[in-house]
Amino acid sequence: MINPFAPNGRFHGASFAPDSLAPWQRLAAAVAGALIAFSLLFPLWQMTMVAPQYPEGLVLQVYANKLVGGASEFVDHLAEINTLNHYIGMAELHGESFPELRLMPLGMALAAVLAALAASGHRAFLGAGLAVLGIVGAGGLSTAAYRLYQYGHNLDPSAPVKIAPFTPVFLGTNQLANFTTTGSLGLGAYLLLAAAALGVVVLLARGRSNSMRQVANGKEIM
Amino acid sequence: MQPHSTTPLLSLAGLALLLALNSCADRGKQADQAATGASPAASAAGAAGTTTAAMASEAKILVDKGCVQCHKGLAWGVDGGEMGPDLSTAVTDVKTRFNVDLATFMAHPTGTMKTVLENQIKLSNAERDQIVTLLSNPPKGDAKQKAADVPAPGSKTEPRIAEGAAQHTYVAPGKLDEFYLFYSGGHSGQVYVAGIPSMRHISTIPVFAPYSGTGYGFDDESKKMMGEYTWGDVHHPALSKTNDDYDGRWLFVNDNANNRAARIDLRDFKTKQIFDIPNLSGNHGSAFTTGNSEYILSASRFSAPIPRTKYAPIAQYKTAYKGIVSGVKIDAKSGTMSPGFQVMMPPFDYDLGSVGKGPSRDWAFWTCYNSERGTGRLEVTASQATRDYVVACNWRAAEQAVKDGKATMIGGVPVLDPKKAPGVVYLIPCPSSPHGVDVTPDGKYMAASGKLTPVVTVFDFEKMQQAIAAKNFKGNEDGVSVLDFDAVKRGEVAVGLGPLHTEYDDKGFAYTSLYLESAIAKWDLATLKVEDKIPVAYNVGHMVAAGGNTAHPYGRYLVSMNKLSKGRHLSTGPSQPESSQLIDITGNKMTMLYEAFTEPEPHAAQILKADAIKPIEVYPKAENHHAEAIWKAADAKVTRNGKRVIVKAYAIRSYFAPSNLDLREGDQVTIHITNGEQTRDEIHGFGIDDYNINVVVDPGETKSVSFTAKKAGVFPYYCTNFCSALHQEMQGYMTVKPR
Repeated sequence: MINPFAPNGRFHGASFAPDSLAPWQRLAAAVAGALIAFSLLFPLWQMTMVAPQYPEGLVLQVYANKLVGGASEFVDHLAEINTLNHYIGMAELHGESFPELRLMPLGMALAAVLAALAASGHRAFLGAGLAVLGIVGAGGLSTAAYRLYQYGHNLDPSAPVKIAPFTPVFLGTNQLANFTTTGSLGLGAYLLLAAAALGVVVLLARGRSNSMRQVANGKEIM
Repeated sequence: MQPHSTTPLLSLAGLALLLALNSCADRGKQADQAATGASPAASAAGAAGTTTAAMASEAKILVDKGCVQCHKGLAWGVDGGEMGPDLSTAVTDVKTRFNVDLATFMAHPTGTMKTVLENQIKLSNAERDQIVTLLSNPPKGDAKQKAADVPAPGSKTEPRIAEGAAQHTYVAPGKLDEFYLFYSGGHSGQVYVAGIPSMRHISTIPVFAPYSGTGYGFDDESKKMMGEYTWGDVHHPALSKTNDDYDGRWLFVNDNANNRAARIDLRDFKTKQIFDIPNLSGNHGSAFTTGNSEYILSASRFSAPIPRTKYAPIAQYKTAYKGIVSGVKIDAKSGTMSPGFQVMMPPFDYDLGSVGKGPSRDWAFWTCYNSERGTGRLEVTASQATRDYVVACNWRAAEQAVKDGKATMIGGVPVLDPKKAPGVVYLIPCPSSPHGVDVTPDGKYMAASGKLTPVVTVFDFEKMQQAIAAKNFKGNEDGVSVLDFDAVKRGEVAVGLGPLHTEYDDKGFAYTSLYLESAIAKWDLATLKVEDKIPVAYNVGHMVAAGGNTAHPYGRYLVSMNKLSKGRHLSTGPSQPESSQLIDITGNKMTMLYEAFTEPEPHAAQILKADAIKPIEVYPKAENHHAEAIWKAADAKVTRNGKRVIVKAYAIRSYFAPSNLDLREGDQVTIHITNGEQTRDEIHGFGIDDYNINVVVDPGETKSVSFTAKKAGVFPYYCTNFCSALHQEMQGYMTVKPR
């Protein structure tokens, strides 16, 4: 096995041992990295608003790096949601005003790279990747909760339609005026969850190099 | 109208009789018995009255004297024409209509019957007495004939309603129609869009007249397009074509009144261009698209000196007045119309046309009346000759002749003189005052409708080519060769009274509208035999079979556009709507499905499969190239330079920016207003009170309106197109401070 890091021995520490992962684990780590990278292409979360005059629903999707309206013919969903929201005094939603959408893709890219590096066999890369992913996930969830709360509570008091402050639903369904709103995880989130689960499984599983080392030390195999 | 006419029905009856008589004379000279397989007498009888085996012998005089041309006498078992009332009830009818008894009326007739009895049916005293006696004593009960499936005028029973017609035409809420029906709106100047089979009116596309509903004719662009006119007379819509079939790109329409043609883009159903056709007066014979939309063809209904501004007294009509047949060039990509070619023609009245298909694709055909070159009262002066003409124009040859430098520029368009450009136009004799000439789907035949002759004459394109090659000419008119009628004719179809237009289905049948008979005749293109007739109410002009003027008609439906509705609707007073009837043409017998009413006045229509087009419903921001478009309220701006005020305005639910506009009296103002919506059906209107302004902007659209602030005061503006729950609040003030 070619190990690009072996020649200079830079990563030859206990946790960065080049051969700490079994082949299936390396493959799984690579897959986890790919899943994280892949998740950048899909929405992490979405909100669907259905009303009698919007039978197909208005969809708002949050990607790691952007906020977009759903795609349907003859309706720009994001513009429409903003137009409607102005009636209740909600601030306009624009991806550019969310710094987390610039940070999140960086974090996820880092997690993906680290997981991919673990394919070289270094268990610690995977651990680091998972840790980054965890931070990104926790950060994402908490900022999402914060944004939802903020947008639902900082309503312009002079708005045409006065409603009690509220927190738009994150997961599940609620009813606001003529709109039934459903929040749900997007494919991107499921990909991240799958990557995380895979990473955890790999981390918890016993690696190849342990047993090899045991053999090398003349101890009993297994 | 004729001052002595009593009722329209009777005056039509008189006309029908005259026509039938004319046709007998005409057909005596020229009937093609072999082709129709019937003697002229039999054909005429077939068209206008027959006796039946059950006929009472004493009633024979009604047949002998020709009364049956217009009247039935069902009480005696006498079948007859539809134009006059059934004579079975003549005693009471005459009393009701004319307030005199039958004997007195027959001795001193009034109205149409006066004309008929003085000129057409001359009765001896003995014959008159015999008829009065006969009509005064109709047999009771038994001898009554069943009136086939044609009801007597005024009958309460409707003929031939299709079984399950209601189900067939019911398009449930939320469901879509299967076909578009594009109606011309006649002198309303507009185009109406309906759905088939529901016949629901869906939309009106304004073309030649202002339409405040969509703000058409109020903003700068549409006002400029309409020019100095505020009306037009739309007769014949024509869908653009590729390979002789509709391609769903554009709809072209003519303006019979102000000599224009217009293009509607079917991407957004908006009028995009109005084109003034030089030289031509009365653009009736238009718009017909050539097989690949190279041209729309048009012809002058009114001959006049050319160019249009030239003067010549009526006395010089025969020499100084010119007819025009013309091709307006269509840009293949944009659809933009530009001058193409024109051919100077003898001063006839060019009527209606169609274009060739397949083998005849390079040709266009028009009928004409008034080959007499008559002036004055044309109903008389233009109805003297037994034959007029069909014009055959090789538009490819015309195009080539222009390229070859054979044309003279007149009024900004190359005009060809047939004397100097041989091979471009020919005349084919056609029985008196033909109206429509319609090329069959295979492009091999042209069916010309007699109007004043109860036949459709079917010409053979191949025979026409042979006659041209053999120079089989019978004279010429102002240098245009007249082809030998018999050499070009394939046959005649005795369709009935007042044939006007012919359309085609997908099974080899032709359908001809019969104005006087108020019926549609279905005939077989192979045998030239009439297979069926269905009565319509009343006086059908054009009818349209689905895809009926393409190389591949859809079949299935036919819409009869009737000129008179005569109270078949909830009464709306003296201004009457027009009636359109939807007819099922899938079976051997045509059946009636539905009747709808429109505003005045559909002349012709096109039927397009719904899935042939996919219109946009929002103007994408990226496509808005208006220099003054803005996309957020914050960009709204008022710029003043002396008296010149330019406003960039923005409309979105539920407000305008700016919300107030401060002007000074005499300001010259242009408001560019953008609708910032990107959702379908969020249309905003910008109406200014007392300033006669209503600009309606569609989602993503920017329109401009310019005006002078002539009146000082305070003028509210508001959204005129209902948009939202707070639509009513969508308003502002234009204050105009006195100077």
